Amino acid sequence: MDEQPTSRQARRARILRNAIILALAAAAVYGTFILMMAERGQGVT
Amino acid sequence: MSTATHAEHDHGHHPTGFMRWLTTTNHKDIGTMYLVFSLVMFFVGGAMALVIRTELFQPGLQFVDPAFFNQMTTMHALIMIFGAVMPAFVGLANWMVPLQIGAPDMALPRLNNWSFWILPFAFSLLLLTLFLPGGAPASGWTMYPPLVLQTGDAFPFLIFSIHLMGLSSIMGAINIIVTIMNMRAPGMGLLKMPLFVWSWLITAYLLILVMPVLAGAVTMLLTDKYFGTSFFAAAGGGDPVMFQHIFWFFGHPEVYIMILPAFGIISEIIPTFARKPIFGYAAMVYATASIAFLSFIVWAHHMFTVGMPLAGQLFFMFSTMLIAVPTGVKVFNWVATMWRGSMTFETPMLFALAFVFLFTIGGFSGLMLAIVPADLQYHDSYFVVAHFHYVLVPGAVFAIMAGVYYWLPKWTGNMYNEKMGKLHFWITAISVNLTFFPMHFVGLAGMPRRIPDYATQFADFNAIATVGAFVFGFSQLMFAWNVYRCAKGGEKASAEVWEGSHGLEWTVPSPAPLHTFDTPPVVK
Repeated sequence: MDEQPTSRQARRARILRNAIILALAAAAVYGTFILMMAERGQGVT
Repeated sequence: MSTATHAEHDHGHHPTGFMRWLTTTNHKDIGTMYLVFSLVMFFVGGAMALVIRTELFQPGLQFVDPAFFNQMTTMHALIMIFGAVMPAFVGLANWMVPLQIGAPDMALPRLNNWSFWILPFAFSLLLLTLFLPGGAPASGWTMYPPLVLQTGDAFPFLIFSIHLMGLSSIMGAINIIVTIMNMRAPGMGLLKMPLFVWSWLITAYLLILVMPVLAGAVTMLLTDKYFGTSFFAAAGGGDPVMFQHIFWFFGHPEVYIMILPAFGIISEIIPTFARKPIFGYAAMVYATASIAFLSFIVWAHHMFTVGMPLAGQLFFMFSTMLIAVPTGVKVFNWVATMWRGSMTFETPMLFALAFVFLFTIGGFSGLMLAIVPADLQYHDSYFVVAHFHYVLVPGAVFAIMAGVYYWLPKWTGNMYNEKMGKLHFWITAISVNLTFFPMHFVGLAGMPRRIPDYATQFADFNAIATVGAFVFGFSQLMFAWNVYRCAKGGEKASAEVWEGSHGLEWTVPSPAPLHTFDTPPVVK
Protein backbone atom coordinates (compact mmCIF):
# COMPACT_ATOMS: atom_id res chain seq x y z
CA MET A 1 0.00 0.00 0.00
CA ASP A 2 3.06 2.25 0.08
CA GLU A 3 2.92 2.79 -3.69
CA GLN A 4 0.66 5.68 -4.65
CA PRO A 5 -1.10 5.80 -8.05
CA THR A 6 0.14 8.71 -10.14
CA SER A 7 -2.84 9.66 -12.28
CA ARG A 8 -5.87 11.42 -10.83
CA GLN A 9 -8.31 8.85 -12.25
CA ALA A 10 -6.32 5.90 -10.95
CA ARG A 11 -6.20 7.44 -7.49
CA ARG A 12 -9.93 8.18 -7.54
CA ALA A 13 -10.73 4.63 -8.61
CA ARG A 14 -8.56 3.25 -5.82
CA ILE A 15 -10.18 5.54 -3.24
CA LEU A 16 -13.66 4.38 -4.25
CA ARG A 17 -12.58 0.73 -4.36
CA ASN A 18 -11.06 0.99 -0.87
CA ALA A 19 -14.13 2.76 0.54
CA ILE A 20 -16.53 0.17 -0.91
CA ILE A 21 -14.46 -2.74 0.45
CA LEU A 22 -14.39 -1.19 3.93
CA ALA A 23 -18.14 -0.47 3.87
CA LEU A 24 -18.83 -4.07 2.80
CA ALA A 25 -16.58 -5.33 5.59
CA ALA A 26 -18.60 -3.31 8.13
CA ALA A 27 -21.89 -4.62 6.69
CA ALA A 28 -20.54 -8.18 6.81
CA VAL A 29 -19.62 -7.87 10.49
CA TYR A 30 -23.12 -6.51 11.26
CA GLY A 31 -24.88 -9.31 9.36
CA THR A 32 -22.63 -12.07 10.64
CA PHE A 33 -23.29 -11.29 14.28
CA ILE A 34 -27.07 -11.20 13.84
CA LEU A 35 -27.13 -14.40 11.76
CA MET A 36 -24.85 -16.14 14.23
CA MET A 37 -27.18 -15.23 17.10
CA ALA A 38 -30.27 -16.25 15.11
CA GLU A 39 -28.76 -19.68 14.37
CA ARG A 40 -27.71 -20.06 17.99
CA GLY A 41 -31.31 -19.33 19.07
CA GLN A 42 -32.50 -22.15 16.80
CA GLY A 43 -29.99 -24.55 18.29
CA VAL A 44 -27.82 -24.68 15.13
CA THR A 45 -24.56 -23.84 16.93
CA MET B 1 9.97 18.93 3.10
CA SER B 2 8.81 21.62 0.76
CA THR B 3 6.74 24.62 1.78
CA ALA B 4 3.05 24.16 1.14
CA THR B 5 1.10 26.15 -1.38
CA HIS B 6 -1.81 28.00 0.08
CA ALA B 7 -3.52 29.79 -2.77
CA GLU B 8 -7.22 30.30 -2.16
CA HIS B 9 -9.43 28.54 -4.67
CA ASP B 10 -12.16 30.45 -6.35
CA HIS B 11 -14.93 28.08 -7.28
CA GLY B 12 -17.27 30.97 -8.04
CA HIS B 13 -19.86 30.08 -5.41
CA HIS B 14 -19.39 30.64 -1.70
CA PRO B 15 -22.40 30.03 0.52
CA THR B 16 -22.33 32.17 3.63
CA GLY B 17 -23.76 31.94 7.12
CA PHE B 18 -25.40 28.67 8.11
CA MET B 19 -25.39 27.33 4.55
CA ARG B 20 -21.60 27.53 4.49
CA TRP B 21 -21.39 25.16 7.44
CA LEU B 22 -24.23 22.92 6.25
CA THR B 23 -22.76 22.39 2.80
CA THR B 24 -19.04 22.57 3.49
CA THR B 25 -16.83 19.72 2.32
CA ASN B 26 -13.63 21.32 3.63
CA HIS B 27 -11.83 19.18 6.17
CA LYS B 28 -10.91 22.20 8.30
CA ASP B 29 -14.52 23.45 8.49
CA ILE B 30 -15.78 19.95 9.29
CA GLY B 31 -13.03 19.50 11.90
CA THR B 32 -14.09 22.76 13.53
CA MET B 33 -17.74 21.67 13.56
CA TYR B 34 -16.83 18.35 15.17
CA LEU B 35 -14.80 20.12 17.85
CA VAL B 36 -17.50 22.69 18.64
CA PHE B 37 -20.14 19.96 18.75
CA SER B 38 -17.94 17.95 21.08
CA LEU B 39 -17.43 20.93 23.41
CA VAL B 40 -21.18 21.53 23.60
CA MET B 41 -21.79 17.85 24.39
CA PHE B 42 -18.96 17.96 26.97
CA PHE B 43 -20.86 20.67 28.85
CA VAL B 44 -24.22 18.89 28.48
CA GLY B 45 -22.77 15.59 29.73
CA GLY B 46 -20.86 17.51 32.40
CA ALA B 47 -24.06 19.13 33.66
CA MET B 48 -25.53 15.63 34.04
CA ALA B 49 -22.44 14.56 35.99
CA LEU B 50 -23.01 17.51 38.33
CA VAL B 51 -26.61 16.37 38.91
CA ILE B 52 -25.20 12.97 39.88
CA ARG B 53 -22.55 14.49 42.15
CA THR B 54 -25.05 16.88 43.76
CA GLU B 55 -27.27 13.95 44.74
CA LEU B 56 -24.24 12.08 46.07
CA PHE B 57 -22.92 15.03 48.11
CA GLN B 58 -24.63 13.62 51.18
CA PRO B 59 -26.16 10.23 52.02
CA GLY B 60 -29.94 10.07 51.61
CA LEU B 61 -32.17 11.20 48.76
CA GLN B 62 -31.98 14.98 48.43
CA PHE B 63 -32.44 16.41 44.97
CA VAL B 64 -33.62 13.90 42.39
CA ASP B 65 -35.69 10.74 42.49
CA PRO B 66 -33.83 7.46 41.89
CA ALA B 67 -35.37 6.90 38.45
CA PHE B 68 -34.08 10.27 37.23
CA PHE B 69 -30.70 9.55 38.82
CA ASN B 70 -30.46 6.40 36.70
CA GLN B 71 -31.39 8.41 33.61
CA MET B 72 -28.58 10.84 34.40
CA THR B 73 -25.92 8.12 34.79
CA THR B 74 -27.01 6.52 31.51
CA MET B 75 -27.22 9.75 29.53
CA HIS B 76 -23.99 11.13 31.01
CA ALA B 77 -22.09 8.08 29.77
CA LEU B 78 -23.69 7.95 26.32
CA ILE B 79 -23.17 11.67 25.75
CA MET B 80 -19.60 11.78 27.00
CA ILE B 81 -18.50 8.68 25.05
CA PHE B 82 -20.33 9.13 21.77
CA GLY B 83 -20.96 12.88 21.85
CA ALA B 84 -17.88 14.40 23.47
CA VAL B 85 -14.77 12.17 23.35
CA MET B 86 -15.25 10.41 20.01
CA PRO B 87 -16.31 13.50 18.01
CA ALA B 88 -13.43 15.48 19.53
CA PHE B 89 -10.90 12.94 18.23
CA VAL B 90 -12.65 12.83 14.84
CA GLY B 91 -12.50 16.64 14.76
CA LEU B 92 -8.78 16.59 15.49
CA ALA B 93 -8.32 13.91 12.80
CA ASN B 94 -10.25 16.01 10.30
CA TRP B 95 -8.12 19.03 10.96
CA MET B 96 -4.74 17.39 11.32
CA VAL B 97 -4.56 14.17 9.27
CA PRO B 98 -4.65 15.89 5.84
CA LEU B 99 -2.24 18.58 7.10
CA GLN B 100 0.15 16.00 8.54
CA ILE B 101 0.24 13.77 5.45
CA GLY B 102 0.34 16.66 2.95
CA ALA B 103 -3.10 15.98 1.44
CA PRO B 104 -5.35 18.77 0.10
CA ASP B 105 -8.43 17.37 1.90
CA MET B 106 -10.03 14.13 3.04
CA ALA B 107 -10.45 11.56 0.26
CA LEU B 108 -14.27 11.58 0.44
CA PRO B 109 -15.28 15.13 1.38
CA ARG B 110 -19.04 14.77 0.85
CA LEU B 111 -19.13 11.65 3.00
CA ASN B 112 -17.22 13.68 5.58
CA ASN B 113 -19.94 16.33 5.62
CA TRP B 114 -22.61 13.66 6.01
CA SER B 115 -20.70 11.92 8.82
CA PHE B 116 -20.78 15.12 10.83
CA TRP B 117 -24.32 16.25 10.13
CA ILE B 118 -25.78 12.91 11.24
CA LEU B 119 -24.52 13.61 14.76
CA PRO B 120 -26.74 16.58 15.73
CA PHE B 121 -29.78 14.51 14.69
CA ALA B 122 -28.57 11.47 16.63
CA PHE B 123 -28.04 13.47 19.82
CA SER B 124 -31.26 15.46 19.42
CA LEU B 125 -33.10 12.13 19.35
CA LEU B 126 -31.24 10.95 22.42
CA LEU B 127 -31.68 14.17 24.40
CA LEU B 128 -35.36 14.49 23.48
CA THR B 129 -36.03 11.27 25.38
CA LEU B 130 -35.68 13.33 28.58
CA PHE B 131 -39.06 14.86 27.72
CA LEU B 132 -40.86 11.62 26.81
CA PRO B 133 -43.28 9.81 29.15
CA GLY B 134 -41.11 7.58 31.33
CA GLY B 135 -38.08 9.76 30.72
CA ALA B 136 -34.72 8.93 29.16
CA PRO B 137 -33.08 5.49 29.02
CA ALA B 138 -32.00 4.48 32.53
CA SER B 139 -30.41 1.06 32.15
CA GLY B 140 -26.79 2.25 31.97
CA TRP B 141 -24.84 2.82 28.75
CA THR B 142 -24.27 -0.95 28.56
CA MET B 143 -28.01 -1.48 27.85
CA TYR B 144 -28.12 -4.98 29.35
CA PRO B 145 -31.32 -6.93 28.73
CA PRO B 146 -33.75 -7.66 30.28
CA LEU B 147 -33.45 -4.32 32.16
CA VAL B 148 -33.13 -2.19 29.03
CA LEU B 149 -36.28 -3.79 27.58
CA GLN B 150 -38.23 -2.11 30.39
CA THR B 151 -37.37 1.30 28.89
CA GLY B 152 -40.53 3.19 27.93
CA ASP B 153 -41.11 5.31 24.86
CA ALA B 154 -37.43 6.26 24.88
CA PHE B 155 -36.35 2.81 23.71
CA PRO B 156 -36.71 3.19 19.92
CA PHE B 157 -35.16 6.68 20.16
CA LEU B 158 -32.16 5.20 21.97
CA ILE B 159 -31.72 2.41 19.42
CA PHE B 160 -32.11 4.70 16.41
CA SER B 161 -29.73 7.30 17.82
CA ILE B 162 -27.11 4.60 18.43
CA HIS B 163 -27.53 3.37 14.88
CA LEU B 164 -26.99 6.92 13.64
CA MET B 165 -23.89 7.42 15.81
CA GLY B 166 -22.50 4.12 14.53
CA LEU B 167 -23.19 5.06 10.93
CA SER B 168 -21.42 8.37 11.43
CA SER B 169 -18.42 6.69 13.05
CA ILE B 170 -18.11 4.02 10.36
CA MET B 171 -18.30 6.58 7.55
CA GLY B 172 -15.73 8.74 9.33
CA ALA B 173 -13.44 5.74 9.81
CA ILE B 174 -13.70 4.71 6.15
CA ASN B 175 -12.80 8.25 5.16
CA ILE B 176 -9.76 8.35 7.43
CA ILE B 177 -8.39 4.99 6.24
CA VAL B 178 -8.92 5.83 2.58
CA THR B 179 -7.33 9.26 3.04
CA ILE B 180 -4.25 7.91 4.79
CA MET B 181 -3.82 5.04 2.35
CA ASN B 182 -4.25 7.09 -0.82
CA MET B 183 -3.51 10.75 -0.21
CA ARG B 184 -0.08 10.83 1.42
CA ALA B 185 2.47 13.21 -0.02
CA PRO B 186 5.12 11.65 -2.27
CA GLY B 187 7.89 10.19 -0.15
CA MET B 188 5.76 9.74 2.95
CA GLY B 189 5.95 5.99 3.46
CA LEU B 190 3.87 4.37 6.16
CA LEU B 191 6.76 4.40 8.61
CA LYS B 192 7.36 8.10 8.02
CA MET B 193 3.84 9.10 9.04
CA PRO B 194 3.40 11.16 12.21
CA LEU B 195 2.31 9.04 15.18
CA PHE B 196 -1.03 10.85 15.43
CA VAL B 197 -1.80 9.66 11.90
CA TRP B 198 -0.71 6.12 12.76
CA SER B 199 -2.85 6.08 15.89
CA TRP B 200 -5.87 7.20 13.87
CA LEU B 201 -5.27 4.67 11.09
CA ILE B 202 -5.36 1.85 13.64
CA THR B 203 -8.33 3.39 15.49
CA ALA B 204 -10.29 3.65 12.25
CA TYR B 205 -9.83 -0.08 11.59
CA LEU B 206 -11.05 -0.77 15.14
CA LEU B 207 -14.12 1.37 14.48
CA ILE B 208 -14.99 -0.49 11.29
CA LEU B 209 -14.67 -3.83 13.05
CA VAL B 210 -16.63 -3.05 16.22
CA MET B 211 -19.26 -0.40 15.52
CA PRO B 212 -21.29 -2.88 13.39
CA VAL B 213 -21.18 -5.28 16.35
CA LEU B 214 -22.83 -2.64 18.55
CA ALA B 215 -25.32 -1.93 15.77
CA GLY B 216 -26.09 -5.65 15.52
CA ALA B 217 -26.56 -5.93 19.29
CA VAL B 218 -28.98 -3.00 19.50
CA THR B 219 -30.87 -4.20 16.39
CA MET B 220 -31.42 -7.51 18.18
CA LEU B 221 -32.65 -5.63 21.27
CA LEU B 222 -35.09 -3.77 19.04
CA THR B 223 -36.46 -6.96 17.51
CA ASP B 224 -36.65 -8.60 20.94
CA LYS B 225 -38.79 -5.73 22.20
CA TYR B 226 -41.04 -5.09 19.22
CA PHE B 227 -40.93 -8.04 16.82
CA GLY B 228 -41.26 -11.09 19.05
CA THR B 229 -37.72 -12.45 18.71
CA SER B 230 -35.89 -13.98 21.67
CA PHE B 231 -32.23 -13.28 21.01
CA PHE B 232 -31.67 -12.31 24.63
CA ALA B 233 -34.95 -13.36 26.29
CA ALA B 234 -34.45 -16.48 28.40
CA ALA B 235 -38.18 -17.28 28.32
CA GLY B 236 -38.01 -17.73 24.55
CA GLY B 237 -34.77 -19.73 24.54
CA GLY B 238 -32.48 -16.71 24.26
CA ASP B 239 -29.49 -15.83 26.42
CA PRO B 240 -29.17 -12.48 28.23
CA VAL B 241 -25.50 -13.19 29.02
CA MET B 242 -24.84 -13.46 25.29
CA PHE B 243 -25.74 -9.76 25.01
CA GLN B 244 -23.01 -8.97 27.52
CA HIS B 245 -20.49 -10.93 25.42
CA ILE B 246 -21.53 -9.11 22.24
CA PHE B 247 -21.68 -5.73 23.94
CA TRP B 248 -18.20 -6.05 25.41
CA PHE B 249 -16.79 -7.44 22.17
CA PHE B 250 -17.65 -3.94 20.97
CA GLY B 251 -17.13 -2.21 24.32
CA HIS B 252 -13.55 -3.08 25.03
CA PRO B 253 -12.13 -2.04 21.64
CA GLU B 254 -14.30 1.07 22.11
CA VAL B 255 -12.18 1.92 25.15
CA TYR B 256 -9.11 1.85 22.90
CA ILE B 257 -10.91 3.85 20.24
CA MET B 258 -11.07 6.55 22.91
CA ILE B 259 -7.45 6.23 24.00
CA LEU B 260 -5.30 5.36 20.93
CA PRO B 261 -5.77 8.80 19.30
CA ALA B 262 -4.87 10.26 22.72
CA PHE B 263 -1.60 8.30 22.58
CA GLY B 264 -1.03 9.79 19.13
CA ILE B 265 -1.53 13.36 20.36
CA ILE B 266 0.80 12.88 23.33
CA SER B 267 3.41 11.37 20.99
CA GLU B 268 3.28 14.59 18.94
CA ILE B 269 3.45 16.99 21.89
CA ILE B 270 6.19 15.47 24.04
CA PRO B 271 8.89 15.52 21.30
CA THR B 272 8.01 19.15 20.48
CA PHE B 273 8.44 20.42 24.03
CA ALA B 274 11.35 18.10 24.85
CA ARG B 275 13.00 19.25 21.59
CA LYS B 276 13.96 15.71 20.75
CA PRO B 277 12.58 13.21 18.23
CA ILE B 278 10.29 10.58 19.71
CA PHE B 279 12.22 7.71 21.30
CA GLY B 280 11.46 4.39 19.55
CA TYR B 281 9.18 5.51 16.70
CA ALA B 282 8.76 2.02 15.26
CA ALA B 283 8.18 0.53 18.73
CA MET B 284 5.40 3.11 19.25
CA VAL B 285 3.70 2.02 16.02
CA TYR B 286 3.96 -1.67 16.86
CA ALA B 287 2.80 -1.05 20.43
CA THR B 288 -0.31 0.76 19.14
CA ALA B 289 -1.06 -2.10 16.74
CA SER B 290 -0.49 -4.65 19.54
CA ILE B 291 -2.87 -2.84 21.89
CA ALA B 292 -5.48 -2.76 19.10
CA PHE B 293 -5.09 -6.50 18.48
CA LEU B 294 -5.22 -7.38 22.18
CA SER B 295 -8.34 -5.24 22.63
CA PHE B 296 -10.30 -7.93 20.74
CA ILE B 297 -9.41 -10.79 23.06
CA VAL B 298 -10.02 -9.33 26.52
CA TRP B 299 -13.73 -8.47 26.49
CA ALA B 300 -14.92 -10.95 29.13
CA HIS B 301 -12.89 -9.22 31.88
CA HIS B 302 -15.89 -6.85 32.10
CA MET B 303 -18.14 -9.73 33.12
CA PHE B 304 -16.13 -12.16 35.27
CA THR B 305 -18.96 -12.18 37.82
CA VAL B 306 -21.56 -13.67 35.44
CA GLY B 307 -19.67 -16.93 35.72
CA MET B 308 -17.48 -18.65 33.18
CA PRO B 309 -15.22 -21.71 33.08
CA LEU B 310 -11.91 -21.45 34.90
CA ALA B 311 -10.03 -21.66 31.59
CA GLY B 312 -12.03 -18.66 30.36
CA GLN B 313 -11.26 -16.67 33.49
CA LEU B 314 -7.55 -17.43 33.17
CA PHE B 315 -7.45 -16.60 29.46
CA PHE B 316 -9.17 -13.25 29.86
CA MET B 317 -7.14 -12.38 32.97
CA PHE B 318 -3.77 -13.04 31.32
CA SER B 319 -4.69 -11.50 27.96
CA THR B 320 -5.79 -8.37 29.83
CA MET B 321 -2.53 -8.21 31.76
CA LEU B 322 -0.65 -8.60 28.49
CA ILE B 323 -1.92 -5.16 27.41
CA ALA B 324 0.32 -3.68 30.07
CA VAL B 325 3.35 -4.66 27.95
CA PRO B 326 2.75 -2.48 24.84
CA THR B 327 1.26 0.24 27.06
CA GLY B 328 4.41 0.11 29.19
CA VAL B 329 6.50 0.44 26.02
CA LYS B 330 4.64 3.63 25.23
CA VAL B 331 5.02 5.14 28.69
CA PHE B 332 8.72 4.19 28.68
CA ASN B 333 9.21 5.83 25.27
CA TRP B 334 7.49 9.04 26.33
CA VAL B 335 9.69 9.23 29.41
CA ALA B 336 12.79 8.35 27.36
CA THR B 337 11.90 11.11 24.88
CA MET B 338 11.90 13.61 27.72
CA TRP B 339 15.16 12.25 29.15
CA ARG B 340 17.83 14.92 28.75
CA GLY B 341 15.53 16.96 26.54
CA SER B 342 15.46 20.76 26.64
CA MET B 343 12.02 20.76 28.13
CA THR B 344 9.69 23.72 28.48
CA PHE B 345 6.31 23.56 30.11
CA GLU B 346 3.74 25.34 27.99
CA THR B 347 0.08 24.38 28.50
CA PRO B 348 0.01 21.51 25.95
CA MET B 349 3.09 19.97 27.58
CA LEU B 350 1.58 20.32 31.07
CA PHE B 351 -1.52 18.45 29.94
CA ALA B 352 0.66 15.83 28.19
CA LEU B 353 2.76 15.27 31.33
CA ALA B 354 -0.36 14.97 33.48
CA PHE B 355 -1.69 12.50 30.93
CA VAL B 356 1.38 10.26 31.24
CA PHE B 357 1.20 10.29 35.02
CA LEU B 358 -2.55 10.05 35.58
CA PHE B 359 -3.39 7.72 32.69
CA THR B 360 -0.83 5.34 34.18
CA ILE B 361 -2.77 5.39 37.47
CA GLY B 362 -5.87 4.38 35.49
CA GLY B 363 -3.83 1.64 33.82
CA PHE B 364 -2.63 0.27 37.16
CA SER B 365 -6.14 0.10 38.62
CA GLY B 366 -7.12 -1.67 35.38
CA LEU B 367 -4.48 -4.30 36.11
CA MET B 368 -5.96 -4.74 39.58
CA LEU B 369 -9.40 -5.24 38.04
CA ALA B 370 -7.99 -7.85 35.65
CA ILE B 371 -7.17 -10.19 38.55
CA VAL B 372 -10.21 -12.48 38.69
CA PRO B 373 -10.49 -13.08 42.46
CA ALA B 374 -9.92 -9.39 43.14
CA ASP B 375 -12.42 -8.39 40.45
CA LEU B 376 -15.10 -10.50 42.12
CA GLN B 377 -14.79 -8.01 45.00
CA TYR B 378 -14.29 -4.82 42.97
CA HIS B 379 -16.98 -5.50 40.35
CA ASP B 380 -19.75 -2.89 40.18
CA SER B 381 -18.11 -0.86 42.94
CA TYR B 382 -16.90 2.75 42.84
CA PHE B 383 -13.38 1.41 42.30
CA VAL B 384 -14.43 0.64 38.73
CA VAL B 385 -15.85 4.16 38.39
CA ALA B 386 -12.52 5.57 39.63
CA HIS B 387 -10.58 3.35 37.20
CA PHE B 388 -12.37 4.26 34.01
CA HIS B 389 -12.65 7.92 34.88
CA TYR B 390 -8.86 8.06 35.33
CA VAL B 391 -8.50 6.53 31.87
CA LEU B 392 -11.08 8.76 30.24
CA VAL B 393 -10.74 12.15 31.96
CA PRO B 394 -7.03 12.74 32.69
CA GLY B 395 -6.50 10.24 29.87
CA ALA B 396 -8.65 10.97 26.83
CA VAL B 397 -10.00 14.40 27.84
CA PHE B 398 -6.58 15.76 28.90
CA ALA B 399 -5.11 14.56 25.59
CA ILE B 400 -7.89 16.33 23.68
CA MET B 401 -7.24 19.54 25.64
CA ALA B 402 -3.48 19.16 25.10
CA GLY B 403 -4.13 18.72 21.37
CA VAL B 404 -6.44 21.74 21.19
CA TYR B 405 -3.90 24.01 22.96
CA TYR B 406 -1.11 22.58 20.77
CA TRP B 407 -2.80 23.08 17.40
CA LEU B 408 -5.07 26.06 18.24
CA PRO B 409 -2.50 28.67 17.07
CA LYS B 410 -2.25 26.78 13.75
CA TRP B 411 -6.05 26.83 13.37
CA THR B 412 -6.69 30.42 14.40
CA GLY B 413 -3.40 32.18 13.65
CA ASN B 414 -3.39 33.55 17.20
CA MET B 415 -1.72 32.43 20.40
CA TYR B 416 -4.07 31.53 23.21
CA ASN B 417 -3.62 33.18 26.62
CA GLU B 418 -0.79 31.13 28.14
CA LYS B 419 -1.37 32.36 31.70
CA MET B 420 -5.02 31.39 31.58
CA GLY B 421 -4.07 28.06 29.94
CA LYS B 422 -1.71 27.23 32.80
CA LEU B 423 -4.25 28.30 35.40
CA HIS B 424 -6.84 26.13 33.65
CA PHE B 425 -4.39 23.22 33.72
CA TRP B 426 -3.56 23.47 37.42
CA ILE B 427 -7.17 23.87 38.57
CA THR B 428 -8.22 21.01 36.29
CA ALA B 429 -5.37 18.70 37.36
CA ILE B 430 -6.04 19.26 41.07
CA SER B 431 -9.83 19.04 40.84
CA VAL B 432 -9.81 15.93 38.67
CA ASN B 433 -7.83 14.10 41.37
CA LEU B 434 -10.07 15.53 44.06
CA THR B 435 -13.06 14.13 42.18
CA PHE B 436 -11.88 10.69 41.20
CA PHE B 437 -9.17 9.63 43.65
CA PRO B 438 -11.53 9.27 46.67
CA MET B 439 -13.69 6.97 44.52
CA HIS B 440 -10.93 4.33 44.81
CA PHE B 441 -11.31 4.37 48.59
CA VAL B 442 -15.12 4.22 48.73
CA GLY B 443 -15.07 1.51 46.08
CA LEU B 444 -12.59 -0.63 47.97
CA ALA B 445 -14.69 -0.10 51.09
CA GLY B 446 -17.71 -1.51 49.25
CA MET B 447 -19.73 1.39 47.84
CA PRO B 448 -21.66 0.14 44.80
CA ARG B 449 -21.84 2.21 41.60
CA ARG B 450 -25.07 3.54 40.03
CA ILE B 451 -26.84 4.24 43.33
CA PRO B 452 -28.38 7.59 44.43
CA ASP B 453 -28.00 6.83 48.15
CA TYR B 454 -25.28 5.16 50.20
CA ALA B 455 -24.21 4.13 53.68
CA THR B 456 -23.03 6.96 55.94
CA GLN B 457 -19.42 5.72 56.20
CA PHE B 458 -18.88 6.84 52.59
CA ALA B 459 -20.07 10.40 53.26
CA ASP B 460 -16.75 12.26 53.61
CA PHE B 461 -15.12 10.93 50.46
CA ASN B 462 -18.31 11.55 48.48
CA ALA B 463 -18.49 15.13 49.71
CA ILE B 464 -14.87 15.68 48.60
CA ALA B 465 -15.60 14.13 45.19
CA THR B 466 -18.59 16.42 44.72
CA VAL B 467 -16.60 19.55 45.57
CA GLY B 468 -13.88 18.40 43.13
CA ALA B 469 -16.46 17.75 40.41
CA PHE B 470 -17.92 21.26 40.69
CA VAL B 471 -14.48 22.87 40.58
CA PHE B 472 -13.53 20.67 37.62
CA GLY B 473 -16.79 21.39 35.78
CA PHE B 474 -16.76 25.16 36.20
CA SER B 475 -13.02 25.48 35.48
CA GLN B 476 -13.73 24.17 31.98
CA LEU B 477 -15.44 27.49 31.26
CA MET B 478 -11.92 28.96 31.33
CA PHE B 479 -10.96 26.55 28.56
CA ALA B 480 -13.99 27.52 26.46
CA TRP B 481 -13.29 31.22 27.06
CA ASN B 482 -9.58 30.87 26.18
CA VAL B 483 -10.42 29.05 22.94
CA TYR B 484 -13.07 31.66 22.07
CA ARG B 485 -10.70 34.58 22.75
CA CYS B 486 -7.98 32.90 20.72
CA ALA B 487 -10.35 32.44 17.77
CA LYS B 488 -11.26 36.14 17.96
CA GLY B 489 -7.74 37.57 18.18
CA GLY B 490 -4.55 37.77 20.15
CA GLU B 491 -0.82 37.68 19.61
CA LYS B 492 -0.10 36.45 16.07
CA ALA B 493 1.34 32.96 15.72
CA SER B 494 4.20 32.10 13.37
CA ALA B 495 3.97 29.20 10.91
CA GLU B 496 6.16 27.07 13.14
CA VAL B 497 4.29 28.17 16.33
CA TRP B 498 6.47 26.09 18.69
CA GLU B 499 10.26 26.18 18.71
CA GLY B 500 10.60 22.40 18.68
CA SER B 501 7.79 21.62 16.25
CA HIS B 502 8.38 19.57 13.14
CA GLY B 503 6.13 18.03 10.50
CA LEU B 504 4.18 19.17 7.46
CA GLU B 505 1.44 20.94 9.42
CA TRP B 506 3.98 23.50 10.62
CA THR B 507 5.08 24.37 7.07
CA VAL B 508 1.76 26.05 6.22
CA PRO B 509 1.07 29.57 7.48
CA SER B 510 -0.90 30.23 10.68
CA PRO B 511 -3.87 30.32 10.42
CA ALA B 512 -3.84 27.40 7.99
CA PRO B 513 -5.52 28.66 4.80
CA LEU B 514 -8.79 27.01 3.77
CA HIS B 515 -6.98 25.10 1.02
CA THR B 516 -3.53 23.63 1.65
CA PHE B 517 -1.21 21.31 -0.24
CA ASP B 518 -2.93 21.74 -3.62
CA THR B 519 0.51 20.86 -4.94
CA PRO B 520 1.70 17.91 -2.89
CA PRO B 521 4.82 18.61 -0.82
CA VAL B 522 7.74 16.23 -1.25
CA VAL B 523 8.86 14.42 1.88
CA LYS B 524 12.53 13.48 1.92
